[in-house]
Amino acid sequence: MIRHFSFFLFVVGSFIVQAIFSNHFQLFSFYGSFVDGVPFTLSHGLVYKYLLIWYLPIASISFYFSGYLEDVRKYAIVLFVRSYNRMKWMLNQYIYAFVVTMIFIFIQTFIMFLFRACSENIWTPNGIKGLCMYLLSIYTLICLQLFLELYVGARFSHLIVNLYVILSILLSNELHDGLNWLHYFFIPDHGMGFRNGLSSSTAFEQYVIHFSIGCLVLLFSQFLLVSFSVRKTKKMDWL
Amino acid sequence: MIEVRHLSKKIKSTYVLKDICYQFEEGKIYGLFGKNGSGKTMLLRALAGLIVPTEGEVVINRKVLHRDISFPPSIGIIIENMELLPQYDAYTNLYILSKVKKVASEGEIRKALQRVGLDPFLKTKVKKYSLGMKQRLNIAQAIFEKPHIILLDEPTNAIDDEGVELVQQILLEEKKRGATIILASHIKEDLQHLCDVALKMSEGKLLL
Repeated sequence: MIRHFSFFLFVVGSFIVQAIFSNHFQLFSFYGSFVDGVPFTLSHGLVYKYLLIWYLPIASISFYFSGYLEDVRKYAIVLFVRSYNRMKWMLNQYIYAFVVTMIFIFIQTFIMFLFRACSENIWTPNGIKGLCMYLLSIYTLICLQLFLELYVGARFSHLIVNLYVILSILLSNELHDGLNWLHYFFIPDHGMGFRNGLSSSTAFEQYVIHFSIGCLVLLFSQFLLVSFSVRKTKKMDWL
Repeated sequence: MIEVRHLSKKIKSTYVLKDICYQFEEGKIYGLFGKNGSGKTMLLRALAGLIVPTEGEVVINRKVLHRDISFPPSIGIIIENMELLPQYDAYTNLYILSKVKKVASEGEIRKALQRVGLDPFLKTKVKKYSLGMKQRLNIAQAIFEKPHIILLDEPTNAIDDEGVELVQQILLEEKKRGATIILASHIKEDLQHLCDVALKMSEGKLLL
């Protein structure tokens, strides 16, 4: 099921705004504000500036997928009565979401380059790793949103995921001296170069997410969310 | 044959279907009539395998739904909250669906569209169709694979008088072919004369 094209343009528009803001604020970045994310710092003003730049595209991608399952389930009825496998259908929706997220990240990187809001460092091995972690963390958030949509509906799911993103970034900033393992529960942290150690910076404090463990946590989270969604789809009523 | 055994469905502490027992025989048209909210659509959903019963079971040709099979093996359906792909034309929509079971040829798709009064070569996207045209396409979608069971919820909704006659003619042809047809409508006069058996539903119960 293809979402309305204006939704797509809205997301691309948010990438452009992000690039403009990145240039306007002239904040330190190693790869680019989207891959670097929000650093650990005691300056709340700085945190909010970084957060504003980083969060814009996340909010718009989340908006793009909001209500996606509710829309496609109307069509799923005519597929299911033709003995189309429910499990296969749900897996297809997650594969589709991954492909779309990947296309968005590709466009975002291109726009950041176009607006010179991205450094050449991104093509180094660590830069590519950073991009992959960024993609994986956003996809995990989308998986969470799609999963919640099966239980609480599109609006609440959208709201919950966006609140979780904001709160986890701010809370993580407050907790960075404390329990490091707690940061693995904050999915946005995994996709931020400043927090997973892939963006080299002496300006900010130490990272808290270990790249390999973070990668495994994201993949495991995705596996769990997709599995539970498939399980739910098998048993749910199609009203 | 479709056998419904003590079927009940509870949604959020309310029973929307209450202890329904009935046998639907092959080659007959059944009409489910009743007010809005009487449980007609819910019963059709249960027969189609779209909802899991709280109690009881639906048996189709000796196979229990949700135990032996997930969905009836040969079924056509029109139901509330169902939608085809708005970005494609009518033919493409049916062609995509035909790829799932692979029982209908391109010719049969075009013939089904013709039967419901739609131009099989019309390239207009479904999103630009009127409500009546969408309903005709829904009917074509339900019959083009020549299913053994046809479940139609308010099939004449948004269709003009000429279209209603066409629908009635199609239903009689499908019955002649041997299909079991179950219609649900809140307007009894509309389709009652077509039905071999008219059943009344009220508050989730089937009144015999």
